[in-house]
Amino acid sequence: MATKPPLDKANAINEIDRILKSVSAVSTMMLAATAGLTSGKLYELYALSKVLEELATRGWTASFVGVAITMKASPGFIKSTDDHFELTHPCHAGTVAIHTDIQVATLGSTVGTVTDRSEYHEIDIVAVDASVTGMPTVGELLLGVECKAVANFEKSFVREVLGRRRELSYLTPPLPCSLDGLVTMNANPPSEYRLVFIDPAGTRYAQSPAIFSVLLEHWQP
Amino acid sequence: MDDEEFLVIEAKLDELARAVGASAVMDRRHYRKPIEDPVTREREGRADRPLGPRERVIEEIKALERHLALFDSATYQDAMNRIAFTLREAAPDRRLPNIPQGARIELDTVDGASTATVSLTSLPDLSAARKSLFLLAVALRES
Repeated sequence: MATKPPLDKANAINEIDRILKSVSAVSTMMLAATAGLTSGKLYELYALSKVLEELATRGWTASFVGVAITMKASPGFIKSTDDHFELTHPCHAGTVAIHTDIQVATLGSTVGTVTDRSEYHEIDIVAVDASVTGMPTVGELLLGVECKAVANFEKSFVREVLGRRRELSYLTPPLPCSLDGLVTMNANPPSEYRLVFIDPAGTRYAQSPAIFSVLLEHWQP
Repeated sequence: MDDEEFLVIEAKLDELARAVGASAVMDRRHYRKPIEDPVTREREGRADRPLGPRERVIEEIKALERHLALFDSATYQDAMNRIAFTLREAAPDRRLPNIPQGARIELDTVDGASTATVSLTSLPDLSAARKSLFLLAVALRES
């Protein structure tokens, strides 16, 4: 069988040119002011599909309430009329709802008087009891997922989620997680909290966040 | 190929990155590798060092592929298929569950009352370009 000759500079350049031509028709979309919004929300949708898939392996039964999956350009409160997913589980009394782009009250606002913009943080995907509306409290948050739709992972993402974790829970000895008790969290309230990203380099930053029950997951389309 | 040739390839890659809104991918600060040996770390006074042109170009190509995945209709379809499968598996007695009819972004409005949405259903098919980038990275690694 004939083997291909090794690639040389000229062929590599030609190949990149060919790829460039093949994407030229759609590059306008990727250069538009809304490009970041599109890519971010597409990844959020992808992460949502992975969350639902994983929860199914943990025994959760999912259903969809609404017409189409609607993600918000800017985070806001939970409204019962929003399209969302509902889940049930033998180990969890009641129904859990999954929403996207939600403002969640901070731990600081629970323990003190906070009325400025540090009263809440935004979380891309949240799971709460289905009866929760408005701005969930840290006690009402069962699961939070941050999505980083960025080609190159940066250490600042880790600092960001560690800060958010600080604003969701206290560090404690292991407690059964609020969602279904199937995993333990070094956190109280014991919500699950994770950072998902597309660059495998992010996995090299996982160990210290894990101590604080921030799970880093490489989910690459 | 030597380092000089990889720098020429990198310049062409920069053109592609700019064309798809991924100029940030070409920032060399992204491309460093850890120094594992503690003696070397101590001697060099740092925990990591930059990648050389060959390795860096290969990583840049892989990053560009990841960037394209975020605009690819294949990513959208993959997500929607996974959701549909999960819902169908969960449906009691396999009855037809309510499957989401697409996904959309609800845009911000000044008054909060009106809603404008952008659908994610009309993304381009970038799978061929992504595959080409993947194969290019493989070929360069073998060159």
